Amino acid sequence: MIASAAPRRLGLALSNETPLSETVALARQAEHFGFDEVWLPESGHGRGVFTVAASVAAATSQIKIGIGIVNPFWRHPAVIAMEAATLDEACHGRLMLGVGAALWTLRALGEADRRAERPLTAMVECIRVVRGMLRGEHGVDGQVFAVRAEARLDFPRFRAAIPVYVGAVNGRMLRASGAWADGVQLGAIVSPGYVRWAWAQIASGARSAGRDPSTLDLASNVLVSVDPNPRLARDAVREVLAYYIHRVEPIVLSTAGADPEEIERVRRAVLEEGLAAGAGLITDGLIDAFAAAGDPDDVAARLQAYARAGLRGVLAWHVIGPDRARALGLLAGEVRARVFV
Amino acid sequence: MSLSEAPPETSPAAPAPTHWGVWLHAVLPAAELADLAVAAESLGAAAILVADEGTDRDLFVTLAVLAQRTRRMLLFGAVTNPHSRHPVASAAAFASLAELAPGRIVAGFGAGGSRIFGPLGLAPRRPLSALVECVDVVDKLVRGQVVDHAGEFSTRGAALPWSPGALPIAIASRGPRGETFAAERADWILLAGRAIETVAGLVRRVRAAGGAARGRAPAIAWNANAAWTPSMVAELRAHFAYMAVDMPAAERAALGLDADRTARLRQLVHAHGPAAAGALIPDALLDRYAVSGDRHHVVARLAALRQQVQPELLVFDADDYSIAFLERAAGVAADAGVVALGSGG
Repeated sequence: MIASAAPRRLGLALSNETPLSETVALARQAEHFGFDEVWLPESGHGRGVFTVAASVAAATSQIKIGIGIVNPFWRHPAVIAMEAATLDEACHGRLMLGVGAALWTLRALGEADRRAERPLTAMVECIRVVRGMLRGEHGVDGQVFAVRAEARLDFPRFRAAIPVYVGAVNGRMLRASGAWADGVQLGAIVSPGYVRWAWAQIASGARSAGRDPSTLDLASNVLVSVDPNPRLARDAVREVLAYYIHRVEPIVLSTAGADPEEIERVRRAVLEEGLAAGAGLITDGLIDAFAAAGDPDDVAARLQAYARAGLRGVLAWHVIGPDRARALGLLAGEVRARVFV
Repeated sequence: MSLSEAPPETSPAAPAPTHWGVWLHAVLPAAELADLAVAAESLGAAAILVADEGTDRDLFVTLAVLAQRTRRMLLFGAVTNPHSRHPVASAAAFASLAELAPGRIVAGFGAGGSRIFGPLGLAPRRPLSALVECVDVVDKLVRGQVVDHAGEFSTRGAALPWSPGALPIAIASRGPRGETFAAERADWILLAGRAIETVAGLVRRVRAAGGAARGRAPAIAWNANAAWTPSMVAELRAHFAYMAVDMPAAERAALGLDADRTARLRQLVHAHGPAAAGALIPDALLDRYAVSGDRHHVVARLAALRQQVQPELLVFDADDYSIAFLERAAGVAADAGVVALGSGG
C-alpha cells in the first residue's frame, strides 16, 4: 500500500457551538503551543464557519486553518470557492478547505433538497467546481448544481491552489475523493482500523483515476482525552463515545476491531434508555478502539497507532481532556514530542 | 396603507440627521477594504455597505475582517439573496458577525439580479416569494426562535440559540409588491439606481406604509449615484449597464434602450463585463438615475435632495477605492449638509 507523503501533523478540531471569542482564544492558544492546524466545523446550526475562520485568521499568523466541512447544498459551489479564496487571501495562504455532503445533518434539519438525492454525483461535481475555480482551471458544466465549466473567480487568487479535502465516510465517497480531491478529512470516532480501511479506499480511487495516492493527504478528527490521571481522562470520553457509537455509519464501527456485541449493547441502550445508559456500557475495549484517552504515555502510544494506520493529520477533537487547558499543554508538549517530532 | 396612496408631504416629527456611508464591492483583499473602512470611519462615515455580487470576494469574510477593524460604524451586508446560500446559513453568518460587532451589523437582503445569478447559473422562479420567506426565517432565527419552514426553501427545527439577538434587516427591492414588502418589513430600506426625481415620493410612501404596518417608519439608506469626476461617471455607466439589463423593458425603451441595443448590452455585459458595456448607456439614463456633474453642481443637488428626501444615510459608491476618494466624499457630504458621525449631529 502506497502511503501518503503528507507531513505528520498535530491539530485541533474546534467546535462552532462555543462563543466566537472563545474559539478565537483557543486558536490563539493552539498557535502559541505550536499546533500545526485548527479545523473549524459548520455542523448543525452553529456559527457561520467562514465568519469564525476570518476571525481566527485575523487573530493568528502561523497556524493553518481548516474548514471541516461545508456542504454544497447550503452554499452554491461557486460561493464556496469565493468564500474559500477570500479567506485564503485574508489568512495569507493558510487555508485548507473541506467539503462534504453533510447528509445526516441536512436530513435531520429538513434541509436536504432534491440535489441531495444523489450525494455522490453532487459531491464529485462540487469538488470539481470548487477545485477548478480555486485553481483557475476549466471546471465542469453542472448537472446537479447550476454552474458552468467556465465559471471563474472575479479576483486574483492568493496562491495557485488551495487544497480541497472531502469529508467522507463510506467507500464510494472515499474512492471518489481519491480520484478528485487533494485529501480527506474523516469524522467522528475513527479508529486506526477505520483509518487503514479508509486509506485503502482513497488510494484505490486515486489509482483508478491515474493519480499517485502519495500526493493525497489524510486528516481526521480523533477523540482525544489526556490527563495525568488516566482514569479521569478515560471517563471523560464515555458519553461522547456512546452518542457517536449510536449515530455513526456502520462501516466506522465494523472496521474498528471492537467487540460487535459491546457496540450493539451501547447502541441499543442509547436508543432505548438514553445517553447516560449508553455511557455506562462503554468498556475499556471500546475506549481503546475509538479514542486516544489516558495519560500522556497512553495517548502517545495510541496516536502512534493512528499514524501507523496511515493518518497524517491528527486533529484532537471534542474532549481533549477533563482539564482542557492542562490537556492542551500535555498534547503540545509530552505527546507531540513522542509522536510528531 | 398601500404604496399607491399618497401620504402628506410633511411629517410632524423632526427629521433624523442624514449621515453618510460608502458602498464597497469586494474588489480588494479584505484587509485593504478594512483600511478604507477605518479611514472612512475616521472621516465621519456612519456605515460601510458591502455588496455580494457575482464571484467577487465573499461578503461574510469581508464583513468579518471589517468588523474587527472598525469600532463605531454600521456594517451592512448589502445585499445578499435567498439563493446563493441557504437562508439558515445566511442567518448564522449574520448572527456570527453580530457576536464580533454587537449592535453594528445590518443584515441586508434582496431578491437578486443578473449580476448575482448570472455567474452562479441560478434562475430563481419566484424571487420575491423567496425574499419574503428568507427575511421572515432569518429574522426569527436571529431572535432565537425555532423555525419550521417549507416553501421556496425548507428547514425543520432550525434554531440559533447562541444568536446575540434581533438584527436590523435591510431590504433592497423593486416593483410595487417588493416595495410594499420592504416598507412593511424592513428596518432599513436600501435605495439605489432609482430615478432621482421619484425618490422623495417613494420615501414618503414607504415611511407611511411602515408606520401604518409596524408603528415605525423604516430608515432610508439612499445611494443617489453621485458622480463628480470623469472616472466616477465612467464607473456609473458600467454600473448602469448591469442595472439596465434588469430594468423593465418599457422603462428601458423610454430611455432609448430598444430591444436591439438591450440585446447588445446584455451580450457585452456577460461576455466582457460591465465596463465594456458602459458606452451603450444613453445619457438620458444617467440624467434620470444619477446626480452627476461638476462638484459644485453635485453638492448643490445633494443638498436639495437631502432636504426633500431626508434619508438617514446617504451612500456613495466607492470610486477608486482610495483614501483620497473617501476624503473627497467626506467633503462633498459635509458641503451638502450631511452630518459626520461623531460630530455631534
